[in-house]
Amino acid sequence: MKKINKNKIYSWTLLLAGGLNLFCSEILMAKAVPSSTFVGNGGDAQDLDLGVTLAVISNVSQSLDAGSKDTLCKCSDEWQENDICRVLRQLSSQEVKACQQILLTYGQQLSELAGRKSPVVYDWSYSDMSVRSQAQSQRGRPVDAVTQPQKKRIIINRSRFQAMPPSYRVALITHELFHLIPFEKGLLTDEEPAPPFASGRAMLNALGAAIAMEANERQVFKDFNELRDVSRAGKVHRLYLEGRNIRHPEKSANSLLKSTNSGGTALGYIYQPGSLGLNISVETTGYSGSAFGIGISEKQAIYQLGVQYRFFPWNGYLSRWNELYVTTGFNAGFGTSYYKASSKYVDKSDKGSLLSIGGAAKMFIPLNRDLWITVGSEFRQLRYEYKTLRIKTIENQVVNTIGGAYGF
Amino acid sequence: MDSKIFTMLLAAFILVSCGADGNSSKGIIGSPLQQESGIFNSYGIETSKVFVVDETTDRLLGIGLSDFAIKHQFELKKKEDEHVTIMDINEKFVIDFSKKHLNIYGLDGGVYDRPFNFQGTPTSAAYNPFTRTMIIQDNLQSVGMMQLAENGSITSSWLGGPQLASGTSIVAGDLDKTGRLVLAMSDETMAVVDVTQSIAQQSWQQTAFSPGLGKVTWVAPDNRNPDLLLVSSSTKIAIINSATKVVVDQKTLDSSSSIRFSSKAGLGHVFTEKAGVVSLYFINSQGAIGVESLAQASLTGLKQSFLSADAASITLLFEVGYRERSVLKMRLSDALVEVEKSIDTTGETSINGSTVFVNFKDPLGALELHSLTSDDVKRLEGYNFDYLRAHN
Repeated sequence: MKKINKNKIYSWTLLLAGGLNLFCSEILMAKAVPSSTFVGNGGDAQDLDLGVTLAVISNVSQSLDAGSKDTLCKCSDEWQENDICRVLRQLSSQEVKACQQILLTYGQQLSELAGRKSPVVYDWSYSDMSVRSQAQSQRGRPVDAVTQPQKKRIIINRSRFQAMPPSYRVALITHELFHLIPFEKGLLTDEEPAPPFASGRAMLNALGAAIAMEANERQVFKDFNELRDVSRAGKVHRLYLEGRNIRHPEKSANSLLKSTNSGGTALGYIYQPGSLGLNISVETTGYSGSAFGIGISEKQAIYQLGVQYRFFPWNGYLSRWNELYVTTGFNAGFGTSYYKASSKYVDKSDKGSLLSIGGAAKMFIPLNRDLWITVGSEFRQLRYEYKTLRIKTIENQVVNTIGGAYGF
Repeated sequence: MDSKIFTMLLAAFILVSCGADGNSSKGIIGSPLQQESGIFNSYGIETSKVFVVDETTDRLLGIGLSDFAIKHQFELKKKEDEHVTIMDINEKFVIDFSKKHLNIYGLDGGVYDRPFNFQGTPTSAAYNPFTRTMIIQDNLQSVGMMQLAENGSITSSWLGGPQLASGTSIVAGDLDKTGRLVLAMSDETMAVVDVTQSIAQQSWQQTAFSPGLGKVTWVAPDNRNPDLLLVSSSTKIAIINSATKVVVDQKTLDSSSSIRFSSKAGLGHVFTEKAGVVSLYFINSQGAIGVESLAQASLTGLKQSFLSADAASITLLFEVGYRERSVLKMRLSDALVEVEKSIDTTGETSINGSTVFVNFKDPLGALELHSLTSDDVKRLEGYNFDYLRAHN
């Protein structure tokens, strides 16, 4: 558990079950330990959904002016059934005016905080987060995001954020960004009074809903439709199938066939909840050819387990390349190797157990609908022995791979 | 016409003629050279080893026939040449022929290089393991003579041309058991060559005589009577005494008979056929021509025959199909078929009276030894695998 200083952290919880309920409370503690930084600063969004969300907030808040009052902080007939709209419907006329005034006054600051040059840092949390206020019992209240104003840091529940519709994300992040905007009395917490609103949380919920509804009214989300189907790096699970070209830089002294190339396929699964991930694969590789009129083939089945680190080499702001990432890691494996040398009258075959260890790097290039192209390279050492044929092999290999992956 | 071209054409004609009637040793000195040393020596004595040329590894492998295991191996010199030949063994050395080249490998490790320079490719050889005398003939009809020491080293040698006297050339010949070279000449004479003197004087030292048999085309020594040789012409089969230079016995073939097959394997012998009846001619224990009639035998597809040293049985190898060969062993006294076996092989095969040796010429190495007295089959295979891996 991580202790967080009172008045330093704010939360905004959005629960979707049974409709929209917004809760804001001053935080005493937050359980948001497993997290990873995915945004270096506000301008380098490395998550496409967050990048789109921030772009929408920035665009909408920047364009607010007096003429916006007709729709701002109001729920139009078209959006009456929208859950976010319900928040605005419940506002009194005083609260609507206050909401409009705040957005027109601080819209530019909000736009800058959501913009590319913003100093705000975003972190993912891969576990549920909860917050407690002094007034509450020991049991915390679940939240989808928390803000640490001093660090200008916003921590977001990864899975919850991914599950939200785009307008909900806008409402959530707008709420959190307003925790970082200094009002006349300073930074606003969820639980301190904010007349005419019942609380700071109520006010921030209204501001978030207002920006989201304004984005709907102005159809800003349509500007990012082309990115809607782009495969997202944030999917935790991956299945992949790839072809492998294996080069044998060291000619084995006891090999009949001086092949320096072999081919194969690998089927694997990757669990990548954050920067660190696990990789499990089954690989079949082999080569065949003839020398001296002898048909020679060698096949290997290798079961590999590896750990890998993921990073995003490119800043592809609001583009497909935003999701492109690279993994590097180590693999260890075991398996079986089969050897056969056959001629017209003679067959010599054997099999032996195999061990492998190596390092790999792989690039994941996003397509659409959670499909990916993978390109990678691996350096590894294989050790295996055919006892009957008295062949012992230690072979260094360079493996180049290309394939496809599916994220879910 | 240029004499060299004429000689080449003559050699080609002789070789084609040899192949035409299926006679494996007609028209040459000694026996045709093969890759395998054979499982009997020049005088029909079964050997304890066989040497094979392995073209995949360029090795000469000595296989022990009792346990059918590799006992000796030599890396061939002149690897780039086709090694069509391994001749006879004397249990102490093995002789390897290649184009324009000859090597003798002593089983004690000694290697003896060529004593003379052939211009052609050795095609046949006669070897007397008792006197260690070797005669080699190449495809240009040159004749090499060598005297070998006990360890296989060459003590003396001479290379002569095919013309012993003006206007005559060698048609066939062989060494008798005493070491004399008996040649049939193109002018229907015969010559007995003193090999020792020819080497010493570096010229043909021979005594010619006219046996009156017509043009003799095949000469085979006898392993029981040192001075006797069985010879055949198109019309006669005869025994010649190389010491007295007279015809000891002869049979004249009538116009409806023809020589179908002759072989020096084991005891030299000739098959004739007349109206579907096969007759076998050989030198019997009395030094006269023995004749056995094999009324029920057929020579169709006959590839090899081996007559036992006591002339009691004959073993025949027939090629009956693409992958199948049939071996038949017959008792001559009553034509009883003692053994009949089919061998599934496309390999190179040689027979003696008790075994059939097959070299499949497989790149990984595959040899088989079939017993003719039991169902036992010994197999030696894959022996090239480790060698290729180590030397690749």
